[in-house]
Amino acid sequence: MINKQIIYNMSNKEKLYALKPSFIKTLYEDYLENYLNKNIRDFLIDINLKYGDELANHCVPGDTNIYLDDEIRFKINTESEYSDKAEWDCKYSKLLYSKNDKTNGIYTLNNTQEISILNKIQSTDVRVWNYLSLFKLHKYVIKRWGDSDDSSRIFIRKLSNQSVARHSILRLYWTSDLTFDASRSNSLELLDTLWLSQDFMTQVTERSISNTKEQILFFLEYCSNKELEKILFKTRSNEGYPLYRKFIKLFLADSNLLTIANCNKDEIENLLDENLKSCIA
Amino acid sequence: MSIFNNPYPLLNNQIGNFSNYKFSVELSENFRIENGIYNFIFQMEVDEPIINSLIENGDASFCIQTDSKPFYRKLFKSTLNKKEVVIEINYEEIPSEFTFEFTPLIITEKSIKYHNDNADSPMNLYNFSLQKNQIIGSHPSIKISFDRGYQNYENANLIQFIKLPNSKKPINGTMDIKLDDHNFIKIYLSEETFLLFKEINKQDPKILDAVLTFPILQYTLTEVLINREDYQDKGWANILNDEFDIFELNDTESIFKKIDEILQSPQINYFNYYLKKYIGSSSDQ
Repeated sequence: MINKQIIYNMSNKEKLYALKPSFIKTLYEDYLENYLNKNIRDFLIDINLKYGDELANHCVPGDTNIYLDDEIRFKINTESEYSDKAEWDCKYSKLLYSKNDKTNGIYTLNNTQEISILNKIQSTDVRVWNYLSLFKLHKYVIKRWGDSDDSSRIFIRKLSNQSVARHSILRLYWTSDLTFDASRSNSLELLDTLWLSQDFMTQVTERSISNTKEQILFFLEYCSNKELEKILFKTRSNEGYPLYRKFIKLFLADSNLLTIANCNKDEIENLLDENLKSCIA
Repeated sequence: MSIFNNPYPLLNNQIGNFSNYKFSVELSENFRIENGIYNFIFQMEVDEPIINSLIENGDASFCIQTDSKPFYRKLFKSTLNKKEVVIEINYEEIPSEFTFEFTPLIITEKSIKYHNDNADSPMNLYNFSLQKNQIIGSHPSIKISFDRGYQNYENANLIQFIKLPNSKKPINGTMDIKLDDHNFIKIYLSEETFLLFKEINKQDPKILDAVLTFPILQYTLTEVLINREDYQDKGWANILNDEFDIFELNDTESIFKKIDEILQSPQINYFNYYLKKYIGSSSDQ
């Protein structure tokens, strides 16, 4: 704790604000009207030129008690691109999550001014996450998603697993949150497994199976076995997809008959053993 | 004869395998937030004797699977009163839309051999080996939303009924459905029909849900399926997509399934409602 506090004291924190919902609506309408056939890059450059200097006027008065480490923000916005996008996402996910061993990322301060992870209300406050994707981390979003014309990368409008998994910044924060395990020496060890590929990450997080954190950790631990990793990620199912897609679908099908949320580690492993046999049969 | 393809007999009033038995669940009306804690109480009634005895013996239990988007699911079980689940959730555990989806379930507490003479044929003829945590009874989800302190976008009904000028009639019979507006699915009606619908809506709004909303959605989702690109930026389509993934529809069969999900089996619900209100009885199958 002392070490963390020293790191925190040495770094500058940037207070994060909540955009006014009416302003988000204005921006979204502007996007629909003028940028539909263009890409995200043009839109982000234009709104930052137009509103960047007077952003305070478009933020909700008051304190969100959410902060972003300024060094992390600088690093994320300025660092050059990675050739492997899943590796890039994984690395920045670790940077943004405050419980990581080396950095503070996005955090809140508790009553005694100690750094804490965000509660669920803060970590899903779309006003703050739009503020990050549209303004504070827009340079990163341009690097990572600039050529895309998918508005869900920059706007989060309604909460769902899918919308979070697609939003440029929320997906980074939430993948760490889903895989954070304080009982491990490397608390984000399973994040590496989740980000083995972008497709695997979305296949897991967009589905309701990811709603049960404890069981999804069992699932990822099972998938992190090196031998199994080769089978699931390097071979393809009869339908031509990577085998892990079939493996995930079977797990999802199990949840229609079983209360996965009530299963312990052994029960999940037994289930996955059976599913694996079906996959490779 | 059982018409639902469950791997073993499932007690569910809509998709189950017990024509003569019911699983009823009620949420106590005084749900509330108190001292930062959400409180809900659910009570259930099962009239099927074998499942009831499994519950009484502790081989099965009544529970509520609680979801809140994104990434929240927790199972709450009955305790002393085996027909009641009390839920308490800390305010800060729930995402900022403060929306809950409660799915009542009856699950096995251990591995059991399951045979139920009361199930529909041919399910009543077989023995089944069930494992722990297996769902033997389920009930449609109950959704609850609390107001939040801020609003993201203006909320409004997605379907808007519009009265045509006095002299005009819809081109396509009873109604014209227009999907080119950004915010609404617009339904154009003659003045006469408009007033008729208005009157019916005043008397019993459930009738319109059952007989009108279904074909409107069927038309709309078919259009979305065929010309997806044309609707991907429409506000109404995105609201439906955020909640129900309508852009992922891939065939006409899935459209029917999706409408059932959106309207929560409107015909069956209405028929039950009708029987209960006008005849004084109800049946879910």
